[in-house]
Amino acid sequence: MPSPALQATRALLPLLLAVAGFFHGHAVAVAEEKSLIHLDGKPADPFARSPAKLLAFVFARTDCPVSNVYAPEIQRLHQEFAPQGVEFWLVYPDRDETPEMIKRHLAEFKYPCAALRDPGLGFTKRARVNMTPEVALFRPSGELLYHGRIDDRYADFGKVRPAPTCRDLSIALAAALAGKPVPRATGPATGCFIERLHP
Amino acid sequence: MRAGVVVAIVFSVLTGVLSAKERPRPNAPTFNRDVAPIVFTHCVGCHHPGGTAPFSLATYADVKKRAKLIARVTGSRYMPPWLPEPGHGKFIGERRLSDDEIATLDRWAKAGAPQGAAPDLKVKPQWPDGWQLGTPDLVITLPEPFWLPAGGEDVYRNFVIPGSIDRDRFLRAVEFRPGPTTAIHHAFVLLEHTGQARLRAASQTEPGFPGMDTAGAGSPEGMFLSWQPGKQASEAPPGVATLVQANTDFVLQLHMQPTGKREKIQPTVALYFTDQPPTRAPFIALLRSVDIDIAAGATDYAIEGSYRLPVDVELVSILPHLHYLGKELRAWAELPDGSRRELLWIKQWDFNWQGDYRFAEPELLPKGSTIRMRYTYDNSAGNPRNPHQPPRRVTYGLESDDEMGELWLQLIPRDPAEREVLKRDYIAAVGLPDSISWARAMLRKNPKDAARRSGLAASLLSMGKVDEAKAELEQAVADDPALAEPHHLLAHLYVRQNDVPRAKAALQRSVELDGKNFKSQNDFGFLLLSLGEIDRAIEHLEKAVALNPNDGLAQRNLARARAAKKP
Repeated sequence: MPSPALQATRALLPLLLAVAGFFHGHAVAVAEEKSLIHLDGKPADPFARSPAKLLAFVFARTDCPVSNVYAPEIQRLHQEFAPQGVEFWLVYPDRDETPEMIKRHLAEFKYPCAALRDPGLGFTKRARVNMTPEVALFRPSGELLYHGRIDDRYADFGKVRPAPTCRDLSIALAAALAGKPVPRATGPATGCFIERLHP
Repeated sequence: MRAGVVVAIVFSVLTGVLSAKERPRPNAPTFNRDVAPIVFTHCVGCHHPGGTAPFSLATYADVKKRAKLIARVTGSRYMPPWLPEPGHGKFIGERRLSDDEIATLDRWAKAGAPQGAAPDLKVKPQWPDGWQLGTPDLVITLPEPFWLPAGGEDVYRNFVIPGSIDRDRFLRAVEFRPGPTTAIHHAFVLLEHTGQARLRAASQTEPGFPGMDTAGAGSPEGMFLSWQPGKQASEAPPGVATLVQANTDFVLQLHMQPTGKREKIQPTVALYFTDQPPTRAPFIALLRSVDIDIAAGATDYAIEGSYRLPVDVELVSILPHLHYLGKELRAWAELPDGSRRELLWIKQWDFNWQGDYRFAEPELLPKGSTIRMRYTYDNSAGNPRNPHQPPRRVTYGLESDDEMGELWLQLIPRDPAEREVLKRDYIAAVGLPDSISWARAMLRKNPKDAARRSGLAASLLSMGKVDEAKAELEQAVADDPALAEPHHLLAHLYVRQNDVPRAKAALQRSVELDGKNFKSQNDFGFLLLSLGEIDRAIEHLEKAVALNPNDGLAQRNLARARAAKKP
């Protein structure tokens, strides 16, 4: 027969865990949850009632030089694939980037799509993205089809091809639209880590 | 009671486990004590608000949010950008982290980037504010901005700043500022005093003219004026200053990389002069190969070059130049006593960070030393910087997807009186043969390039190879009857052969085809003067002086012609 002390401990364990967890603000706050918000601060759910065939989320930050270099390519991809039913979104995971900064960034770099913030990193984790720029491709159902780099132009920092030899995201978009298996990215992305993902 | 104790113990253990990540690990580096001294010394020169880098690293918050990135780029030595290996030349402005510093940054990132105790922060970030050398004597800029497109490949373009100096001046220092853009990746400040660069730019629809061919603009004699982000201002060595003639044009050769948005390009250049004439005159020597021919797929194609010094020299600065396929560079000197002096070793060339390197103390190389260079190239698909994917055969050329292999050396003879000895020896041993090889390399690419063929002929004439020169000039005339220069050079050839009528006819044809060449106007005027045709001589000599007011020879000839006209 367990002792009263052990019985009490067992009974209280869930409460203890919850209380202990309450005091770990940082670790718990970065829990996996829906955390996308519009620039006006209201919760965002781009999947809800989306008529698109696919949703492409481009993770960016205003001061990542690699992310910025890809702005014309994002414009090109939008031009090619938006008419085919792909809905493009920019996602800014850096909680220090204010809506005003983001609006300026959108205008400066002529992004053709709307922007969301993910300060809680819940969606970033769901999208399995680790840095900017990376892209996550979803079906409206929420099925993640692709996550990773846009192309292979950056082999590494300081090792940049004059032009990409493999346009991973284009290939993934075309395959997904055609109902075919979506290939994985052929290599790792290069860019600015989303460092709060792994404190 | 015992239940309460157990609860307390369990609670404490759980909170302790879950809090571990928030407490700094014992002996982990902290920002205040260990990281700030590194970052504030080696990084904020570029990475500060308004700096040439795309983001600032001037505060703990800035650095913390990029801790892993910093560990990654310093671990690979991508940052700070410094190509030369230690122990092979000691240079001013070295930007290299020690292995310990790199390890500290890595451990700090892995420890969660803790800030540390406030009293441990004993350094402040500092960066140049204002011009590095104080108030400039003159600041020049492009007459109009150039707009770099948002995307696409790198852009190489030359911008002319016409005639900014009202009298001959001695230039002692230059500082280049890119302006509020991160698009300029490196720059060369060049001089041009014949007007040819200005003419080339005038033929374009946008400011400047494209490519690596600078239309004759070159480094000021004795100074390398290169710039990359973070580079200190370029100052001439003690006793050295370069003469810049009045109305000289400055040409800024810029290598620009699109940033994702349209960029306004309008850099400024601060000029510092001295009234003290130079007491020492550097000589710029160039070792290179123009016979580069790299097969597709080759991973270790090599070139070599050498020059044996005829006099004692100080080697003050060194400037390597290769394009995107460049791999490993070595330069060294073999001294007469059999010893070897390492001058430069770059294990992995990066075209984006090219520039000149000034020795902290000039390398003293005695007479009889041989300076050697060896460069390798990677033209395989495994080289991500390869401009051709798939790879293809690459030869020497001026475009960025051609290849080059140059080592520029700033030499100062220990005895100023021996500068002419050095110059004559270098021209005979290296300069003239190289100019012939270079012209032939250019003609292999374009056999119908009559202008290059004329240049080849000029070099052959300098070496006394008259028959070869004549054959090349006759071919140039056949390939391009409208080109003036072959006729100009044929005139020189005929003068050598004492065939004055043919020389006169050739110069007549030359100025008819191109009335804006001050040299041919001067030569024709001088020939007419020698033939007693004074009025026509004055006419052409006045044109020469008007085209190039800096041409002292034309001015003297004109004075003689005018004197000859007087009754």
